Amino acid sequence: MVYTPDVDVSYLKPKLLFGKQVGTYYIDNMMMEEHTRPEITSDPVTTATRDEAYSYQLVFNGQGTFSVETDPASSWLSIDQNGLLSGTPTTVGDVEVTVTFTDGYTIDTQTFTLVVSSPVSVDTPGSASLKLFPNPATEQVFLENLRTGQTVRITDITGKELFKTVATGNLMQVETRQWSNGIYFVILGEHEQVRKLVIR
Amino acid sequence: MNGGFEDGIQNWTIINQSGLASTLTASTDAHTGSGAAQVEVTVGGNLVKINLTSDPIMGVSDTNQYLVRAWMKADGAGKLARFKVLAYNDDESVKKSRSSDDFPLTTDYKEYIWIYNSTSEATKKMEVIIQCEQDLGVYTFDDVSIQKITGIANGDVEIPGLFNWFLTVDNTNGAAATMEEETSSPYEGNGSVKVDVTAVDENPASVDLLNDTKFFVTAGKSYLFTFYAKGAAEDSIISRFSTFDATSTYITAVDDSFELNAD
Repeated sequence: MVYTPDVDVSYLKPKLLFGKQVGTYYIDNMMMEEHTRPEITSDPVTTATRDEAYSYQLVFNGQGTFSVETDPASSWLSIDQNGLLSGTPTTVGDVEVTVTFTDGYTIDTQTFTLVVSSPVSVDTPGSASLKLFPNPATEQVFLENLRTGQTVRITDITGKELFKTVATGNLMQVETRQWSNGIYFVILGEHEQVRKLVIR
Repeated sequence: MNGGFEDGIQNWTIINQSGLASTLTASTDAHTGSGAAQVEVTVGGNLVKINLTSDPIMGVSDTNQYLVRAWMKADGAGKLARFKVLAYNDDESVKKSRSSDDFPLTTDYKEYIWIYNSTSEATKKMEVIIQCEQDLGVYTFDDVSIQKITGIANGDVEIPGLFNWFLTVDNTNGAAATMEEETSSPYEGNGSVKVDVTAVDENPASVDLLNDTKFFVTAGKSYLFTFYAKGAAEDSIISRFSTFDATSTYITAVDDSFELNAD
């Protein structure tokens, strides 16, 4: 039992009450000591990039053991007993991360959304740089510097594909008015170029 | 403080007052080691006036409890002795003087224990005093110690005789229980407290095991309370902190419940 006294408490006396059940009870090693509650004090690192190492060193008070759970379940993220949360994400999307720090008596948890994005600005040497405008966009976005025959895909942050076509010229207009506000990725070819698109 | 008197009677002095007379000598009649202290009272008559006094113990902090212990005997059963502690202010004036109950001594060595509550502010030093009985005779002392209690006094039940443990049974509505020292299956060490509850009523507090420690706390800090217990499976007990303010006025009780098993 962890006890945090009110401001007016000077001292206490410990008792055990046995009046609920008939029986024989044995008591030993009763102890009371100052206790530092396990507490995570740092702000989390909430962004990561697919295929790149992610790390977040937790700052904490007290002693205890760390564990981490994710939703959806991810095998790439782990935490060591020094409070280093790390791993290399393999898919884009949001991951709900819950870190637990406990000494067996009290628990502190930190929950945050880790946003895993695709690598951006992956340009193939020699090709013209893809331009998006306006960006952020509302009703439509223009894609410039396309090559005829080049595959154009747009995904949301979870990797879900919302748009796919083949470029027929240098410039393309994409209607975005039906899309939810958020972050999207415009991908040319097989990740020859990737640009982040913001819809507001 | 040379509580074992292995350096003779160094650090200890005898103080006779009000016409009483006694002598302090080093003795080899030791409980442990090879030294002890012997006081022979040649003019008696006042319990509180013959003091075997240690040199001051420095660096004493306030608001703490101290366990005062000594092995003592007398040349006649029933002769009395007691502990006294003087706490001093920074200006060397006595801040507080407290005494234990009288201990009727036996003719064989026996350990006597007392908890001294230090609640004085700015206590600079303490002196431990053993006060001999008014009767004439010879008193022998060994292994005198004073130790700050950092947790719960005798929480490990290693001091024989269930020192500092008290069982209160409110039998108004039929509750019945006994307490005894159990040495056959302690969790650790040599002793544990065995509470045998033979009848209960609707009130959990009708059988109440108290460890009479004053555990001083500081607002803003947290404290971990632990104990080892066993009983029949699915039995449960309630831990209760009775809390008090700086004037020893009861504030409230803080309860928690624990399920037991047979281990």
